[in-house]
Amino acid sequence: MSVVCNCATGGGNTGRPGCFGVFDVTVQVLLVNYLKPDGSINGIDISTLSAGGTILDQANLDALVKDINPLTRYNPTPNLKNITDERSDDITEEFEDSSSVFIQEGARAFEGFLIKGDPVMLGNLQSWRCQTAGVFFIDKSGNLIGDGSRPGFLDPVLLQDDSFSAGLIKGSDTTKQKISIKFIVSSLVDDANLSMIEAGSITAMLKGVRGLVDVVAGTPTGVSTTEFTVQLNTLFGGVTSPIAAEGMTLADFSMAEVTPTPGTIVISSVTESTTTPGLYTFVFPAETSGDVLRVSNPLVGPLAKNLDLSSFDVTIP
Amino acid sequence: MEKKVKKLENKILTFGNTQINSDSLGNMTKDEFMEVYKAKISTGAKEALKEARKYLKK
Repeated sequence: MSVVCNCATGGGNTGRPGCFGVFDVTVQVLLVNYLKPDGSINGIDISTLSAGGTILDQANLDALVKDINPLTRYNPTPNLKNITDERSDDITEEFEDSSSVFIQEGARAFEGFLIKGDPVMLGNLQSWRCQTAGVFFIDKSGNLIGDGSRPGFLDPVLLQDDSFSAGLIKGSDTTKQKISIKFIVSSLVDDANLSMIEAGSITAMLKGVRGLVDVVAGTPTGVSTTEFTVQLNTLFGGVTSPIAAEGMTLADFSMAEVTPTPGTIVISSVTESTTTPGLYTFVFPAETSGDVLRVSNPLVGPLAKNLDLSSFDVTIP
Repeated sequence: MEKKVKKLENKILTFGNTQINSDSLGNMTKDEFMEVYKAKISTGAKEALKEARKYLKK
């Protein structure tokens, strides 16, 4: 971004306090849709933080990373290694006398490696390329870094459209399988506007915060007018050995009739099998033959666990 | 005179591997409870019945 010159005030002061925090190396990034569905920036409203807008606590963080709305959810990556986050050289115009003048800063490129990255994670990351995406950086000291240019907010750092790239790097005799993540920061972002919520103002377990894991349902079995059983698995694991979504409870689900009479159904009970991990039996008030029921995440967030259920339908026989 | 209405608690009762919405028990008798949950509750439906009884239809 080029610097706006203000001839009325001259150059800026160059003093600084005796003690102040600086950004440390990035260890995780939070991927977000830069814009909310209503068109506003998907940033953190400082006034909504705890203790009168001074502390980012666990409830604040959960509301962001376990948001039931995927369009406003903050998605932390696992720990990243070998980070490079640098601007390329300034773009200048050179003259025949070998002098040059500044035109604009070079682009800021970020790259990091996600150890033990797998194809499922790769697919989820690749989908960010299509989005108008932004990132927050979590650094080694536990600071949360974003764009502080909007008063009262810490906004995500806007990425250049279509710059996000993720690639699988298979393991070798001497290296572990990993995913590389690369992106370019938008030229609209000025480094001078980068700001942070300092680690000292964060009581949440920010460093190491985990993203949600997709959960998908198999075909419901034993369907009657009052109950059915269904296997819930994550997308991870082998083709014949998917990793089950264990430990989900009644509060992790909602049910609704889709047709013919749309409306909420209060689930009577949920039982997870003690012998088959991820096998759940749902009991609900008697429904009519032909009714289509939909099971999904709870209606009110944040989610209680790091499991994000893809809704599935059940037709009452 | 104000009519007394039974308040729905919407409380989640946890019995081993099963969570039951207490409101769902209001239209269920003891026998129906045992029929539905006999094979489901890992810690024993009979034990669960002791706690669930107050929510069941009298």
